[in-house]
Amino acid sequence: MPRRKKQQLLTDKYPQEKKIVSKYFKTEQNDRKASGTDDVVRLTTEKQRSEDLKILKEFDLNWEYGPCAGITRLERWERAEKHDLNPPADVKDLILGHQDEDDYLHCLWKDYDL
Amino acid sequence: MSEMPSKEPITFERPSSLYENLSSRFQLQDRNFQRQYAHLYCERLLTMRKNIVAGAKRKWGSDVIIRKLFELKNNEKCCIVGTFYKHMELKPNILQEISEEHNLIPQPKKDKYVSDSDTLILEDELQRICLVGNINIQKACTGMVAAVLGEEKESGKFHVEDTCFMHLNQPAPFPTLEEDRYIFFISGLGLGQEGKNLMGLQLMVDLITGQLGSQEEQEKYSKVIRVILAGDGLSYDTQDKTVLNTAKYLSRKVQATTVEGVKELDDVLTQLVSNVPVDIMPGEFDPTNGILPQQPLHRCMFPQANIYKTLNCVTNPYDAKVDGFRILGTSGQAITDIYQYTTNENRLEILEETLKTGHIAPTAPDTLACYPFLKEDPFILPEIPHVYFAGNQSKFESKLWEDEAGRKCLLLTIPRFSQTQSGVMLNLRTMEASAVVFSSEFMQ
Repeated sequence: MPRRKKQQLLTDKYPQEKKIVSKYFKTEQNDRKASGTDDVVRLTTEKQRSEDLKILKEFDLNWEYGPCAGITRLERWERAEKHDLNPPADVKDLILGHQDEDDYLHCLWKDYDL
Repeated sequence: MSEMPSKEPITFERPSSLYENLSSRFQLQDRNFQRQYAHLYCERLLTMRKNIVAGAKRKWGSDVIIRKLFELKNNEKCCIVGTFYKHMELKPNILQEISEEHNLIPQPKKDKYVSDSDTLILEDELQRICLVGNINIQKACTGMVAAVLGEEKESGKFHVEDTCFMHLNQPAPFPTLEEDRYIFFISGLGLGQEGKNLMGLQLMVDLITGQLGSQEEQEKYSKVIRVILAGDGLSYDTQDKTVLNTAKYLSRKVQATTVEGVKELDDVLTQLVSNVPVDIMPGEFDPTNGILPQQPLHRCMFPQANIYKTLNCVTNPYDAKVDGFRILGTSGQAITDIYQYTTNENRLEILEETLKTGHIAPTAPDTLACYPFLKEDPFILPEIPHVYFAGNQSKFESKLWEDEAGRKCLLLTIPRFSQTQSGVMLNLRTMEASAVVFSSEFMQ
């Protein structure tokens, strides 16, 4: 009967999904182990990162460059540059150097819905 | 038909013209509606400030003190630059409407929202200050950027002595022409209205295309090098709001109310574009986006006129150069909006005011919907155009605006064709504009 067949399929699927989840878990744990070998490197990069973010935060809070919410940091930097407001060059370098990190690209209010 | 005139039929060749469309800044590149309008105001102030500061120094001497609002000292004469915000009691307010939703009558729609209690506030990046003194509060409107000279008194209000707006250049004076060349402006055709008399419209089309009139008239109208349709080809009646509230399965087989109107417009356009280049700008009631800048009507809406290259679908606002004349204009929404928020009764004066303040649509985004621009404010005038027009106004008026620096601009308000049965014919050689009226008693 077709109906019974359908029910069977649904129950079959469940353990399979579980398998995928546990597999993902394992690989992530492995990764952590590997990186844990050089703690010193990680600590220095984290320190560097918090300093970077401090500079970027100061840029966000500088009123001279206009409102910051809702646009990317780079867009705001470019607007300031266009109007000869001399935005700090290191801010642009930081943004361009971390193109795949959201914390660098977006302003400090990025988690708030507008 | 044996008594045909023995004369050879005369053919009048329509002269061609140089044309350049300069409206690319009104073409939306991206559609991001996540942003707030603060960026547009910021961009506007930053862009216009430099020019205004330079103008203020020229007007009040190079030693005039220019201050930000947070640097103001009491009783010190100085100049401040910022954006106007007009605080208005009667301005429709969405929050008020929501709070009054419970058993209170909504605010009535009015012709004008001005009242004596209105106050004018100047805002810069950080602060705002109330303006009093020598400034006409009721002629100013929200969104204008200006420099004001005066001093802050103990009351915390800024006492204004003088005001300075953006100074625009005119790169080239009016080009000189050897022969008459005309541009024909029409707006507010208002098609798609039931029981509408199309006689006047047909007369106009026939006259422009040279199928009517005496030989002199035909010769004159053969010199029309361009027709500009300044918005509202369709009538307000085609805006069927009930469709939005009807379930989809009920309205699926129903034809949209704009279809008939667009068909009529296609017919009119086909007759025109087979003869003369036509720029068609969208207006308030046309089937395109409602917010400024309005994007061009899609060519596929006009299957018959589409085959002609002379059909030119353009944006609103529209900026172009025809035979060296810079022509800029809107379908009139900005002027109508300012009219509602100032005591100024004369539409031409409002148009002149927007030219003097250097901004086509200052009330956008406050009371006039517009796209949340970030990188530029396209409504800032780049230069003084030669012809500056607004469509869909109550009557035809024209004025040659001129200043001591020799800048000249012809201001035009184009009346609604559906109400006045008239278009505007502009002679580029003499820079004289006149209304051409197509209404007569027997047509009523």
